[in-house]
Amino acid sequence: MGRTMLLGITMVLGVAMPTAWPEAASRPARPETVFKAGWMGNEPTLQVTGRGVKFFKRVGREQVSIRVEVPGDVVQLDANLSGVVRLGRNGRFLQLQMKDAFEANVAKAQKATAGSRALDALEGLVASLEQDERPEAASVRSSFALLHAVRGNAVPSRTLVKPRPAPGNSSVVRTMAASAEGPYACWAEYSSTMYQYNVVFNSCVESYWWIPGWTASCGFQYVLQSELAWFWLISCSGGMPV
Amino acid sequence: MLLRILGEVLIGFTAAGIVLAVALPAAIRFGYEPGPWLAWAAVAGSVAVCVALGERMNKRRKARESP
Repeated sequence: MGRTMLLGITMVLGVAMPTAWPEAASRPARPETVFKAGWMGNEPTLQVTGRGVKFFKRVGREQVSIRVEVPGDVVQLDANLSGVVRLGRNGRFLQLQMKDAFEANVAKAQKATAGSRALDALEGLVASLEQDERPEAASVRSSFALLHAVRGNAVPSRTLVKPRPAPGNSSVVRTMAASAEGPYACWAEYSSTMYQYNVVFNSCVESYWWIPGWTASCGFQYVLQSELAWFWLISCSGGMPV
Repeated sequence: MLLRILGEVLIGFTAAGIVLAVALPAAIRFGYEPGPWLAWAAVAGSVAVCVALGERMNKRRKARESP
């Protein structure tokens, strides 16, 4: 009995270990991300290819156009100075205006981009460029932030804002600046994270409403995430729930 | 007694997380920008409800057990 269990555990571990997969051993190195800057008329363009996603950005005097593409899914966004945003997915476009209600715009944008593989792939690309200080990488990050801001998630935009070093850059000043963040910074982080979890939960329920068990698991995931975020908030504020 | 109250308070804190998970996105969706007071309100409400329910259940259990 014990010997059979040991054999079973060894077999499971052998299958589960990534090095046991033949393709893992011979997997080629991931190609690098390629940046290609250019011009279209008088407007600068940036094309980035990497991690299975094609990213294209064109910046004009009054308009910025972003296109994110993976096989089978394309997300496009055009925003101009007059506050009009045109969001498209796989050839279907919707127009959002600043004068419309923010919640209604966010709901429309979330519905249009729900389950987008292009946005998921772009997230992977942005994560790989996190430490990259080149302006091209920063441009990709800002576009990612814009795409998420349209969908009602301000977290990527907030991460773009880096704290400026204090004058003199002494460690004492830096420590004070860090401690001056206070409970409101924790609350802001918590509320934006919770809103993001809620967006994911709504999208999950909307996608799988016809499977009762699946919607229940969406709810279970949301409850777990919210509890984790809640206890993070308590720990972030030094033991107090704000 | 003390341990029971402590348990009820802990469950109240946990329940406050779920209350906030419902109240916070709803408030944002309706155009409000709630501050940290919402967390305090959720904690106070949840702890009060959990302690009240716990004590009530305890009282009913005692009444059932006594001859």
